Amino acid sequence: MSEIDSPSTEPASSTMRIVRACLFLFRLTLQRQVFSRQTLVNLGLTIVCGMIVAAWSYRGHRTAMGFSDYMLLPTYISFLMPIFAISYGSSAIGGEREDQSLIYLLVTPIPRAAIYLTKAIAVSLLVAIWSGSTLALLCWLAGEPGKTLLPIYLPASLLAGLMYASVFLLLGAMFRHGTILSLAYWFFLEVLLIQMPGTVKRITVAFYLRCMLFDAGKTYNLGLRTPADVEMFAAISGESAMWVMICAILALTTFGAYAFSRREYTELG
Amino acid sequence: MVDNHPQRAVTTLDQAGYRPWTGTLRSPWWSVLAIVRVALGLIMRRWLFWGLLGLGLLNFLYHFSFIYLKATLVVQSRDFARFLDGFKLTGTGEAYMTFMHVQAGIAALLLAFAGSMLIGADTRHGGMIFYLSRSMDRKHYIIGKLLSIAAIVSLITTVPALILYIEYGVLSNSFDYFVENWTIARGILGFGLVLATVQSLLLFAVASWIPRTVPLAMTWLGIFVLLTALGRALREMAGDRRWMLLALWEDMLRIGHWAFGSLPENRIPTGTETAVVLVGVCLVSLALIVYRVKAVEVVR
Repeated sequence: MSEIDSPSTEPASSTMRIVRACLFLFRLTLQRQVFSRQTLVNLGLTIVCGMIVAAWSYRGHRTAMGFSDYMLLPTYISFLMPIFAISYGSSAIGGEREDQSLIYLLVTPIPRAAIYLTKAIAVSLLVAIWSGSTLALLCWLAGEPGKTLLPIYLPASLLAGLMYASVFLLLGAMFRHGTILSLAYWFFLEVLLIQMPGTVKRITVAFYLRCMLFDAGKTYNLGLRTPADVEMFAAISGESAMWVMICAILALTTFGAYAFSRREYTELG
Repeated sequence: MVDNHPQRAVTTLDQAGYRPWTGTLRSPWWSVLAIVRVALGLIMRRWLFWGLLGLGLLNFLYHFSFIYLKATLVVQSRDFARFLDGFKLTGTGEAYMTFMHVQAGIAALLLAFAGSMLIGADTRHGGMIFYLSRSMDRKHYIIGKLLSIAAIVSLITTVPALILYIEYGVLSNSFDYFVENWTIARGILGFGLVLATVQSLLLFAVASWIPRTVPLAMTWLGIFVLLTALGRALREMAGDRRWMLLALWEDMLRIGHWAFGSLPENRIPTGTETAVVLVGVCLVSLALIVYRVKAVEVVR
Protein backbone atom coordinates (compact mmCIF):
# COMPACT_ATOMS: atom_id res chain seq x y z
CA MET A 1 0.00 0.00 0.00
CA SER A 2 1.42 3.38 -0.90
CA GLU A 3 1.99 6.12 1.66
CA ILE A 4 -0.75 8.26 0.16
CA ASP A 5 -3.37 5.60 0.77
CA SER A 6 -2.27 4.90 4.33
CA PRO A 7 -5.07 5.82 6.77
CA SER A 8 -2.65 6.87 9.52
CA THR A 9 -0.98 9.59 7.42
CA GLU A 10 -4.09 10.74 5.52
CA PRO A 11 -5.25 13.66 7.75
CA ALA A 12 -1.84 15.32 7.84
CA SER A 13 -1.14 14.83 4.15
CA SER A 14 -4.66 16.00 3.26
CA THR A 15 -4.06 19.27 5.11
CA MET A 16 -0.71 19.64 3.44
CA ARG A 17 -2.26 18.98 0.05
CA ILE A 18 -4.78 21.74 0.64
CA VAL A 19 -2.05 24.11 1.78
CA ARG A 20 -0.02 23.30 -1.31
CA ALA A 21 -3.09 23.74 -3.50
CA CYS A 22 -3.76 27.11 -1.86
CA LEU A 23 -0.17 28.16 -2.47
CA PHE A 24 -0.52 27.15 -6.11
CA LEU A 25 -3.80 29.08 -6.36
CA PHE A 26 -2.13 32.09 -4.73
CA ARG A 27 0.66 32.00 -7.31
CA LEU A 28 -1.81 31.46 -10.15
CA THR A 29 -4.00 34.35 -8.99
CA LEU A 30 -1.00 36.67 -8.78
CA GLN A 31 0.17 35.56 -12.20
CA ARG A 32 -3.24 36.00 -13.83
CA GLN A 33 -3.79 39.38 -12.23
CA VAL A 34 -0.34 40.75 -12.92
CA PHE A 35 -0.22 39.64 -16.57
CA SER A 36 -3.57 41.14 -17.43
CA ARG A 37 -4.95 44.13 -19.26
CA GLN A 38 -5.90 45.84 -16.03
CA THR A 39 -2.21 45.94 -15.08
CA LEU A 40 -1.49 47.71 -18.36
CA VAL A 41 -4.34 50.14 -17.75
CA ASN A 42 -3.11 50.69 -14.17
CA LEU A 43 0.32 51.42 -15.55
CA GLY A 44 -1.13 53.88 -18.05
CA LEU A 45 -3.17 55.65 -15.37
CA THR A 46 -0.11 55.82 -13.10
CA ILE A 47 1.95 57.36 -15.91
CA VAL A 48 -0.75 59.99 -16.56
CA CYS A 49 -0.89 60.73 -12.82
CA GLY A 50 2.89 61.01 -12.77
CA MET A 51 2.69 63.52 -15.64
CA ILE A 52 0.10 65.53 -13.70
CA VAL A 53 2.31 65.67 -10.61
CA ALA A 54 5.40 66.48 -12.70
CA ALA A 55 3.51 69.33 -14.41
CA TRP A 56 2.28 70.59 -11.03
CA SER A 57 5.73 70.54 -9.44
CA TYR A 58 7.35 72.23 -12.46
CA ARG A 59 6.76 75.64 -10.95
CA GLY A 60 8.66 76.26 -7.72
CA HIS A 61 7.41 77.24 -4.24
CA ARG A 62 5.22 74.20 -3.80
CA THR A 63 4.12 73.29 -0.29
CA ALA A 64 3.16 69.99 1.31
CA MET A 65 -0.33 71.38 1.93
CA GLY A 66 -0.73 72.29 -1.75
CA PHE A 67 0.54 68.90 -2.87
CA SER A 68 -1.96 67.21 -0.59
CA ASP A 69 -4.91 69.45 -1.54
CA TYR A 70 -4.40 69.74 -5.30
CA MET A 71 -2.64 66.51 -6.21
CA LEU A 72 -2.84 63.63 -3.77
CA LEU A 73 -6.40 64.02 -2.51
CA PRO A 74 -8.16 64.52 -5.88
CA THR A 75 -6.07 62.24 -8.10
CA TYR A 76 -4.49 59.56 -5.94
CA ILE A 77 -6.82 59.18 -2.94
CA SER A 78 -10.13 59.86 -4.68
CA PHE A 79 -9.45 58.16 -8.00
CA LEU A 80 -6.32 56.08 -8.45
CA MET A 81 -6.40 54.07 -5.22
CA PRO A 82 -10.05 52.92 -5.52
CA ILE A 83 -9.43 52.12 -9.20
CA PHE A 84 -6.44 49.90 -8.28
CA ALA A 85 -8.62 48.11 -5.73
CA ILE A 86 -11.48 47.69 -8.22
CA SER A 87 -9.15 46.44 -10.94
CA TYR A 88 -7.81 43.59 -8.82
CA GLY A 89 -10.51 43.19 -6.17
CA SER A 90 -13.61 42.84 -8.29
CA SER A 91 -11.87 40.84 -11.01
CA ALA A 92 -10.34 38.22 -8.69
CA ILE A 93 -13.55 36.21 -8.51
CA GLY A 94 -15.67 38.34 -10.88
CA GLY A 95 -13.14 37.75 -13.68
CA GLU A 96 -13.34 33.98 -13.13
CA ARG A 97 -17.12 34.23 -13.42
CA GLU A 98 -16.86 36.36 -16.54
CA ASP A 99 -14.47 33.86 -18.16
CA GLN A 100 -16.63 30.97 -16.89
CA SER A 101 -13.55 29.40 -15.30
CA LEU A 102 -14.90 29.61 -11.75
CA ILE A 103 -16.50 26.20 -12.13
CA TYR A 104 -13.06 24.58 -12.51
CA LEU A 105 -12.00 26.23 -9.29
CA LEU A 106 -15.11 25.13 -7.44
CA VAL A 107 -14.81 21.48 -8.45
CA THR A 108 -11.35 21.24 -6.87
CA PRO A 109 -11.24 19.68 -3.38
CA ILE A 110 -10.03 22.99 -1.88
CA PRO A 111 -12.59 24.32 0.63
CA ARG A 112 -14.37 27.35 -0.77
CA ALA A 113 -13.46 29.51 2.22
CA ALA A 114 -9.79 28.68 1.59
CA ILE A 115 -10.19 29.68 -2.09
CA TYR A 116 -11.68 33.01 -1.05
CA LEU A 117 -9.02 33.67 1.59
CA THR A 118 -6.21 32.79 -0.81
CA LYS A 119 -7.63 35.15 -3.40
CA ALA A 120 -8.11 37.84 -0.74
CA ILE A 121 -4.46 37.60 0.32
CA ALA A 122 -3.23 37.71 -3.30
CA VAL A 123 -5.44 40.69 -4.13
CA SER A 124 -4.45 42.54 -0.94
CA LEU A 125 -0.80 42.04 -1.75
CA LEU A 126 -1.22 43.37 -5.27
CA VAL A 127 -3.29 46.36 -4.20
CA ALA A 128 -0.82 47.20 -1.42
CA ILE A 129 2.14 47.00 -3.80
CA TRP A 130 0.43 49.12 -6.47
CA SER A 131 -0.87 51.72 -4.00
CA GLY A 132 2.41 51.97 -2.10
CA SER A 133 4.67 52.12 -5.15
CA THR A 134 2.45 54.62 -6.98
CA LEU A 135 2.33 56.86 -3.93
CA ALA A 136 6.11 56.66 -3.60
CA LEU A 137 6.51 57.52 -7.30
CA LEU A 138 4.17 60.52 -7.09
CA CYS A 139 5.89 61.78 -3.93
CA TRP A 140 9.30 61.39 -5.57
CA LEU A 141 8.12 63.36 -8.61
CA ALA A 142 6.78 66.13 -6.37
CA GLY A 143 10.17 66.67 -4.71
CA GLU A 144 10.39 68.11 -1.20
CA PRO A 145 6.62 68.27 -0.48
CA GLY A 146 6.36 64.64 -1.54
CA LYS A 147 9.16 63.55 0.76
CA THR A 148 7.38 65.28 3.63
CA LEU A 149 4.01 63.70 2.92
CA LEU A 150 5.05 60.14 2.08
CA PRO A 151 5.33 58.91 5.72
CA ILE A 152 1.95 60.52 6.49
CA TYR A 153 0.11 59.13 3.49
CA LEU A 154 1.66 55.67 3.27
CA PRO A 155 0.09 53.87 6.31
CA ALA A 156 -3.36 55.34 5.68
CA SER A 157 -3.21 54.58 1.95
CA LEU A 158 -2.14 50.98 2.47
CA LEU A 159 -4.88 50.36 5.01
CA ALA A 160 -7.55 52.05 2.88
CA GLY A 161 -6.33 50.17 -0.21
CA LEU A 162 -6.77 46.88 1.65
CA MET A 163 -10.22 47.89 2.83
CA TYR A 164 -11.29 48.87 -0.68
CA ALA A 165 -9.91 45.56 -1.94
CA SER A 166 -11.94 43.59 0.63
CA VAL A 167 -15.13 45.49 -0.26
CA PHE A 168 -14.67 44.99 -4.00
CA LEU A 169 -13.63 41.36 -3.65
CA LEU A 170 -16.82 40.74 -1.69
CA LEU A 171 -18.95 42.52 -4.32
CA GLY A 172 -17.23 40.52 -7.08
CA ALA A 173 -17.96 37.27 -5.27
CA MET A 174 -21.56 38.10 -4.37
CA PHE A 175 -22.84 39.69 -7.57
CA ARG A 176 -22.56 38.84 -11.23
CA HIS A 177 -21.69 42.37 -12.32
CA GLY A 178 -19.40 43.00 -9.37
CA THR A 179 -17.20 45.44 -11.25
CA ILE A 180 -20.05 47.74 -12.18
CA LEU A 181 -21.49 47.49 -8.68
CA SER A 182 -18.06 48.35 -7.30
CA LEU A 183 -17.93 51.39 -9.57
CA ALA A 184 -21.45 52.38 -8.51
CA TYR A 185 -20.50 51.94 -4.83
CA TRP A 186 -17.41 54.07 -5.34
CA PHE A 187 -19.25 56.79 -7.27
CA PHE A 188 -22.46 57.03 -5.25
CA LEU A 189 -21.19 56.23 -1.76
CA GLU A 190 -17.53 57.14 -1.66
CA VAL A 191 -17.59 60.25 -3.86
CA LEU A 192 -21.00 61.69 -2.99
CA LEU A 193 -21.48 60.76 0.68
CA ILE A 194 -18.09 62.08 1.75
CA GLN A 195 -19.27 65.58 0.78
CA MET A 196 -22.41 65.38 2.90
CA PRO A 197 -22.75 66.72 6.44
CA GLY A 198 -23.40 64.56 9.47
CA THR A 199 -22.51 60.99 10.29
CA VAL A 200 -23.82 59.43 7.06
CA LYS A 201 -20.31 59.48 5.61
CA ARG A 202 -19.11 57.03 8.27
CA ILE A 203 -20.12 54.13 6.06
CA THR A 204 -17.46 55.13 3.53
CA VAL A 205 -13.82 54.07 3.42
CA ALA A 206 -12.86 57.58 2.32
CA PHE A 207 -14.02 59.02 5.65
CA TYR A 208 -11.71 56.85 7.77
CA LEU A 209 -8.86 57.36 5.33
CA ARG A 210 -9.20 61.13 5.58
CA CYS A 211 -9.49 60.97 9.36
CA MET A 212 -6.17 59.13 9.52
CA LEU A 213 -4.54 61.55 7.06
CA PHE A 214 -5.80 64.72 8.71
CA ASP A 215 -4.82 63.47 12.15
CA ALA A 216 -1.32 62.47 11.06
CA GLY A 217 -0.85 65.64 9.03
CA LYS A 218 -1.85 68.19 11.70
CA THR A 219 1.67 69.58 11.72
CA TYR A 220 1.44 70.48 8.03
CA ASN A 221 -2.11 71.83 8.32
CA LEU A 222 -3.54 69.13 6.06
CA GLY A 223 -7.27 68.86 5.58
CA LEU A 224 -9.77 70.69 7.75
CA ARG A 225 -8.89 74.34 8.33
CA THR A 226 -12.00 76.36 9.03
CA PRO A 227 -14.41 75.67 11.94
CA ALA A 228 -17.16 75.12 9.35
CA ASP A 229 -15.06 72.40 7.67
CA VAL A 230 -14.40 70.75 11.03
CA GLU A 231 -18.10 70.76 11.94
CA MET A 232 -19.14 69.57 8.49
CA PHE A 233 -16.67 66.69 8.40
CA ALA A 234 -17.16 65.57 12.05
CA ALA A 235 -13.89 63.65 12.10
CA ILE A 236 -12.88 60.94 14.55
CA SER A 237 -9.34 60.39 15.81
CA GLY A 238 -6.77 58.82 13.52
CA GLU A 239 -6.26 55.88 15.85
CA SER A 240 -9.99 55.12 16.01
CA ALA A 241 -10.18 55.35 12.22
CA MET A 242 -7.29 52.91 11.92
CA TRP A 243 -8.95 50.36 14.22
CA VAL A 244 -12.28 50.72 12.42
CA MET A 245 -10.56 49.96 9.13
CA ILE A 246 -8.66 46.95 10.53
CA CYS A 247 -11.85 45.51 12.06
CA ALA A 248 -13.78 46.20 8.83
CA ILE A 249 -11.16 44.41 6.71
CA LEU A 250 -11.31 41.35 8.98
CA ALA A 251 -15.11 41.38 9.12
CA LEU A 252 -15.51 41.82 5.35
CA THR A 253 -13.03 39.04 4.58
CA THR A 254 -14.69 36.66 7.05
CA PHE A 255 -18.13 37.45 5.71
CA GLY A 256 -16.87 37.11 2.15
CA ALA A 257 -15.40 33.65 2.87
CA TYR A 258 -18.69 32.59 4.47
CA ALA A 259 -20.82 34.00 1.65
CA PHE A 260 -18.59 32.49 -1.04
CA SER A 261 -18.77 29.05 0.57
CA ARG A 262 -22.57 29.21 0.84
CA ARG A 263 -23.42 30.78 -2.50
CA GLU A 264 -24.68 28.72 -5.42
CA TYR A 265 -23.28 29.98 -8.71
CA THR A 266 -26.13 28.92 -10.94
CA GLU A 267 -25.02 30.79 -14.06
CA LEU A 268 -21.90 28.59 -14.36
CA GLY A 269 -23.78 25.56 -15.58
CA MET B 1 -23.08 7.76 -40.03
CA VAL B 2 -23.21 10.66 -42.53
CA ASP B 3 -25.40 10.30 -45.59
CA ASN B 4 -23.29 11.54 -48.52
CA HIS B 5 -25.62 10.60 -51.35
CA PRO B 6 -26.72 13.88 -53.05
CA GLN B 7 -30.23 12.70 -53.93
CA ARG B 8 -30.95 11.48 -50.43
CA ALA B 9 -29.40 14.64 -48.88
CA VAL B 10 -31.75 16.87 -50.88
CA THR B 11 -34.70 14.81 -49.76
CA THR B 12 -33.61 15.16 -46.15
CA LEU B 13 -33.30 18.94 -46.56
CA ASP B 14 -36.78 19.10 -48.10
CA GLN B 15 -38.15 17.11 -45.22
CA ALA B 16 -36.52 19.50 -42.77
CA GLY B 17 -38.63 22.28 -44.25
CA TYR B 18 -35.85 24.61 -45.39
CA ARG B 19 -37.02 26.98 -48.09
CA PRO B 20 -35.82 30.26 -49.59
CA TRP B 21 -37.27 33.59 -48.45
CA THR B 22 -40.02 34.55 -50.87
CA GLY B 23 -41.05 37.88 -49.36
CA THR B 24 -39.73 41.30 -50.35
CA LEU B 25 -36.36 42.06 -48.77
CA ARG B 26 -36.22 45.43 -47.05
CA SER B 27 -33.25 47.74 -47.05
CA PRO B 28 -30.42 46.64 -44.70
CA TRP B 29 -30.78 50.03 -43.00
CA TRP B 30 -33.76 48.54 -41.18
CA SER B 31 -31.32 46.27 -39.40
CA VAL B 32 -30.05 49.34 -37.54
CA LEU B 33 -33.39 49.59 -35.76
CA ALA B 34 -33.30 45.90 -34.93
CA ILE B 35 -29.80 46.25 -33.46
CA VAL B 36 -30.94 49.19 -31.32
CA ARG B 37 -34.03 47.28 -30.15
CA VAL B 38 -32.04 44.17 -29.25
CA ALA B 39 -29.31 46.20 -27.53
CA LEU B 40 -31.77 48.19 -25.42
CA GLY B 41 -33.64 45.01 -24.54
CA LEU B 42 -30.38 43.39 -23.49
CA ILE B 43 -29.53 46.28 -21.20
CA MET B 44 -33.02 46.73 -19.79
CA ARG B 45 -33.25 43.08 -18.82
CA ARG B 46 -30.58 43.65 -16.18
CA TRP B 47 -31.70 44.78 -12.76
CA LEU B 48 -28.42 46.61 -12.46
CA PHE B 49 -29.48 48.99 -15.24
CA TRP B 50 -32.66 49.85 -13.41
CA GLY B 51 -30.74 50.28 -10.15
CA LEU B 52 -28.30 52.71 -11.74
CA LEU B 53 -31.12 54.46 -13.60
CA GLY B 54 -33.02 54.78 -10.31
CA LEU B 55 -29.99 56.34 -8.62
CA GLY B 56 -29.63 58.64 -11.60
CA LEU B 57 -33.25 59.68 -11.38
CA LEU B 58 -32.86 60.84 -7.75
CA ASN B 59 -31.41 64.05 -9.15
CA PHE B 60 -34.34 64.28 -11.56
CA LEU B 61 -36.85 63.87 -8.73
CA TYR B 62 -35.12 66.61 -6.76
CA HIS B 63 -35.40 69.03 -9.69
CA PHE B 64 -38.94 67.91 -10.46
CA SER B 65 -40.05 68.64 -6.88
CA PHE B 66 -38.19 71.95 -6.84
CA ILE B 67 -39.96 73.17 -9.98
CA TYR B 68 -43.31 72.17 -8.52
CA LEU B 69 -42.47 73.96 -5.27
CA LYS B 70 -41.37 77.05 -7.15
CA ALA B 71 -44.56 77.12 -9.23
CA THR B 72 -46.60 76.96 -6.00
CA LEU B 73 -44.58 79.70 -4.28
CA VAL B 74 -44.81 82.02 -7.29
CA VAL B 75 -48.55 82.19 -6.73
CA GLN B 76 -48.23 82.84 -2.98
CA SER B 77 -45.17 85.10 -2.73
CA ARG B 78 -43.61 87.02 -5.62
CA ASP B 79 -40.57 88.03 -3.52
CA PHE B 80 -39.74 84.50 -2.65
CA ALA B 81 -40.14 83.53 -6.29
CA ARG B 82 -37.62 86.21 -7.29
CA PHE B 83 -35.21 84.74 -4.72
CA LEU B 84 -35.66 81.30 -6.27
CA ASP B 85 -34.89 82.73 -9.70
CA GLY B 86 -31.23 82.32 -8.72
CA PHE B 87 -31.94 78.75 -9.75
CA LYS B 88 -31.97 79.67 -13.44
CA LEU B 89 -34.81 77.94 -15.17
CA THR B 90 -35.30 80.93 -17.42
CA GLY B 91 -32.91 83.07 -19.50
CA THR B 92 -29.93 80.88 -20.38
CA GLY B 93 -31.34 77.94 -18.43
CA GLU B 94 -28.25 77.31 -16.30
CA ALA B 95 -30.21 74.94 -14.05
CA TYR B 96 -31.00 72.61 -16.97
CA MET B 97 -27.39 72.67 -18.01
CA THR B 98 -26.15 71.83 -14.51
CA PHE B 99 -28.75 69.10 -14.28
CA MET B 100 -27.64 67.55 -17.58
CA HIS B 101 -24.01 67.79 -16.55
CA VAL B 102 -24.64 65.86 -13.34
CA GLN B 103 -26.78 63.34 -15.21
CA ALA B 104 -23.97 62.90 -17.75
CA GLY B 105 -21.69 61.77 -14.91
CA ILE B 106 -24.19 59.08 -13.97
CA ALA B 107 -24.58 58.17 -17.65
CA ALA B 108 -20.80 57.73 -17.89
CA LEU B 109 -20.97 55.19 -15.08
CA LEU B 110 -23.82 53.37 -16.75
CA LEU B 111 -21.93 53.38 -20.02
CA ALA B 112 -19.06 51.44 -18.44
CA PHE B 113 -21.63 48.70 -17.84
CA ALA B 114 -23.32 49.11 -21.22
CA GLY B 115 -20.01 49.20 -23.10
CA SER B 116 -18.86 45.83 -21.81
CA MET B 117 -22.26 44.30 -22.49
CA LEU B 118 -23.06 45.81 -25.89
CA ILE B 119 -19.65 46.13 -27.50
CA GLY B 120 -17.18 44.15 -25.37
CA ALA B 121 -19.32 41.02 -25.30
CA ASP B 122 -19.76 41.15 -29.09
CA THR B 123 -16.00 41.27 -29.53
CA ARG B 124 -15.20 38.61 -26.94
CA HIS B 125 -17.98 36.11 -27.49
CA GLY B 126 -18.28 36.41 -31.27
CA GLY B 127 -21.54 38.36 -31.40
CA MET B 128 -20.02 40.61 -34.04
CA ILE B 129 -19.47 37.58 -36.29
CA PHE B 130 -23.16 36.78 -36.01
CA TYR B 131 -24.19 40.33 -36.94
CA LEU B 132 -21.77 40.60 -39.84
CA SER B 133 -22.83 37.22 -41.25
CA ARG B 134 -26.30 38.68 -41.89
CA SER B 135 -27.21 40.61 -45.01
CA MET B 136 -25.92 43.87 -43.62
CA ASP B 137 -22.72 45.82 -43.81
CA ARG B 138 -20.47 46.83 -40.94
CA LYS B 139 -21.67 50.42 -41.26
CA HIS B 140 -25.13 49.23 -40.25
CA TYR B 141 -23.67 47.39 -37.28
CA ILE B 142 -21.61 50.42 -36.21
CA ILE B 143 -24.50 52.85 -36.57
CA GLY B 144 -26.85 50.49 -34.76
CA LYS B 145 -24.50 50.15 -31.81
CA LEU B 146 -23.76 53.88 -31.72
CA LEU B 147 -27.47 54.66 -31.70
CA SER B 148 -27.98 52.17 -28.87
CA ILE B 149 -25.36 53.90 -26.71
CA ALA B 150 -26.71 57.31 -27.70
CA ALA B 151 -30.20 56.20 -26.69
CA ILE B 152 -28.96 55.23 -23.21
CA VAL B 153 -27.19 58.57 -22.81
CA SER B 154 -30.28 60.47 -23.98
CA LEU B 155 -32.51 58.46 -21.66
CA ILE B 156 -30.56 59.75 -18.68
CA THR B 157 -29.64 63.27 -19.79
CA THR B 158 -31.80 64.76 -22.56
CA VAL B 159 -35.17 63.15 -21.91
CA PRO B 160 -35.35 64.07 -18.17
CA ALA B 161 -34.16 67.62 -18.97
CA LEU B 162 -36.90 67.99 -21.59
CA ILE B 163 -39.47 66.68 -19.10
CA LEU B 164 -38.33 69.31 -16.57
CA TYR B 165 -38.54 72.02 -19.24
CA ILE B 166 -42.07 71.00 -20.18
CA GLU B 167 -43.04 70.72 -16.50
CA TYR B 168 -41.86 74.27 -15.79
CA GLY B 169 -43.72 75.57 -18.84
CA VAL B 170 -47.03 73.90 -18.13
CA LEU B 171 -46.97 74.88 -14.45
CA SER B 172 -46.98 78.57 -15.43
CA ASN B 173 -50.21 80.41 -16.24
CA SER B 174 -49.65 80.63 -20.00
CA PHE B 175 -47.54 79.09 -22.73
CA ASP B 176 -45.37 82.21 -22.92
CA TYR B 177 -42.56 80.33 -21.19
CA PHE B 178 -42.09 78.10 -24.25
CA VAL B 179 -42.15 81.10 -26.62
CA GLU B 180 -39.81 83.28 -24.55
CA ASN B 181 -37.38 80.49 -23.67
CA TRP B 182 -37.26 78.43 -26.84
CA THR B 183 -33.47 78.74 -26.77
CA ILE B 184 -33.47 76.53 -23.68
CA ALA B 185 -35.09 73.71 -25.62
CA ARG B 186 -32.47 74.24 -28.32
CA GLY B 187 -29.77 74.15 -25.64
CA ILE B 188 -31.09 70.94 -24.11
CA LEU B 189 -31.24 69.22 -27.49
CA GLY B 190 -27.86 70.59 -28.57
CA PHE B 191 -26.06 69.64 -25.38
CA GLY B 192 -27.80 66.26 -25.41
CA LEU B 193 -26.64 65.68 -28.97
CA VAL B 194 -23.04 66.51 -28.07
CA LEU B 195 -23.10 64.24 -25.02
CA ALA B 196 -24.65 61.37 -26.95
CA THR B 197 -22.38 61.69 -30.00
CA VAL B 198 -19.06 62.10 -28.23
CA GLN B 199 -19.73 59.53 -25.53
CA SER B 200 -21.10 56.90 -27.88
CA LEU B 201 -18.18 57.17 -30.31
CA LEU B 202 -15.60 57.25 -27.55
CA LEU B 203 -17.15 54.33 -25.68
CA PHE B 204 -17.43 52.22 -28.82
CA ALA B 205 -13.78 52.90 -29.67
CA VAL B 206 -12.57 52.05 -26.16
CA ALA B 207 -14.80 48.98 -25.77
CA SER B 208 -13.87 47.55 -29.15
CA TRP B 209 -10.19 47.66 -28.21
CA ILE B 210 -10.56 46.89 -24.48
CA PRO B 211 -13.57 44.57 -24.33
CA ARG B 212 -13.21 43.20 -20.79
CA THR B 213 -15.34 44.90 -18.15
CA VAL B 214 -12.68 45.84 -15.58
CA PRO B 215 -10.04 47.41 -17.86
CA LEU B 216 -12.79 49.03 -19.92
CA ALA B 217 -14.36 50.71 -16.90
CA MET B 218 -10.94 51.84 -15.66
CA THR B 219 -9.94 53.31 -19.03
CA TRP B 220 -13.33 54.89 -19.59
CA LEU B 221 -13.30 56.72 -16.24
CA GLY B 222 -9.59 57.47 -16.51
CA ILE B 223 -10.14 59.32 -19.80
CA PHE B 224 -12.51 61.76 -18.15
CA VAL B 225 -11.01 62.12 -14.67
CA LEU B 226 -7.28 62.10 -15.34
CA LEU B 227 -7.32 64.05 -18.60
CA THR B 228 -9.15 66.83 -16.77
CA ALA B 229 -6.53 66.83 -14.01
CA LEU B 230 -3.72 66.73 -16.58
CA GLY B 231 -5.24 69.64 -18.50
CA ARG B 232 -5.47 71.71 -15.32
CA ALA B 233 -1.90 70.93 -14.28
CA LEU B 234 -0.52 71.76 -17.74
CA ARG B 235 -2.56 74.98 -17.90
CA GLU B 236 -1.06 76.05 -14.60
CA MET B 237 2.43 75.04 -15.68
CA ALA B 238 2.39 76.72 -19.09
CA GLY B 239 -0.02 79.53 -18.20
CA ASP B 240 -2.07 78.73 -21.31
CA ARG B 241 -5.76 77.99 -20.93
CA ARG B 242 -5.79 76.04 -24.19
CA TRP B 243 -4.37 73.07 -22.28
CA MET B 244 -7.87 72.70 -20.86
CA LEU B 245 -8.87 71.35 -24.25
CA LEU B 246 -7.37 68.06 -23.05
CA ALA B 247 -10.24 67.78 -20.57
CA LEU B 248 -12.91 66.15 -22.73
CA TRP B 249 -15.52 66.40 -20.01
CA GLU B 250 -15.07 70.17 -19.79
CA ASP B 251 -14.99 70.40 -23.58
CA MET B 252 -18.44 68.87 -23.75
CA LEU B 253 -19.60 71.24 -21.02
CA ARG B 254 -18.20 74.20 -22.97
CA ILE B 255 -20.09 73.16 -26.08
CA GLY B 256 -23.14 72.79 -23.85
CA HIS B 257 -22.71 76.41 -22.72
CA TRP B 258 -22.45 77.38 -26.37
CA ALA B 259 -25.68 75.53 -27.17
CA PHE B 260 -27.45 77.27 -24.28
CA GLY B 261 -26.00 80.61 -25.40
CA SER B 262 -24.08 81.20 -22.18
CA LEU B 263 -20.50 80.79 -23.43
CA PRO B 264 -18.50 84.06 -23.11
CA GLU B 265 -17.24 85.02 -26.58
CA ASN B 266 -13.66 85.92 -25.76
CA ARG B 267 -12.99 83.20 -23.23
CA ILE B 268 -10.11 80.89 -24.13
CA PRO B 269 -10.46 78.15 -25.27
CA THR B 270 -13.17 79.37 -27.61
CA GLY B 271 -16.20 77.41 -28.72
CA THR B 272 -14.66 76.85 -32.16
CA GLU B 273 -11.43 75.45 -30.70
CA THR B 274 -13.40 73.15 -28.45
CA ALA B 275 -15.58 71.99 -31.32
CA VAL B 276 -12.49 71.24 -33.42
CA VAL B 277 -11.03 69.11 -30.60
CA LEU B 278 -14.27 67.20 -30.08
CA VAL B 279 -14.72 66.61 -33.81
CA GLY B 280 -11.11 65.36 -33.92
CA VAL B 281 -11.77 62.97 -31.02
CA CYS B 282 -14.91 61.71 -32.76
CA LEU B 283 -13.06 61.14 -36.05
CA VAL B 284 -10.20 59.29 -34.35
CA SER B 285 -12.73 57.17 -32.44
CA LEU B 286 -14.58 56.41 -35.66
CA ALA B 287 -11.34 55.38 -37.39
CA LEU B 288 -10.51 53.06 -34.46
CA ILE B 289 -14.01 51.56 -34.60
CA VAL B 290 -13.93 50.98 -38.37
CA TYR B 291 -10.49 49.39 -38.10
CA ARG B 292 -11.65 47.10 -35.32
CA VAL B 293 -15.06 46.05 -36.64
CA LYS B 294 -14.14 43.42 -39.17
CA ALA B 295 -15.55 40.06 -40.05
CA VAL B 296 -12.12 38.45 -40.35
CA GLU B 297 -12.75 36.40 -37.24
CA VAL B 298 -15.22 34.37 -39.32
CA VAL B 299 -12.17 32.68 -40.84
CA ARG B 300 -10.88 31.61 -37.42
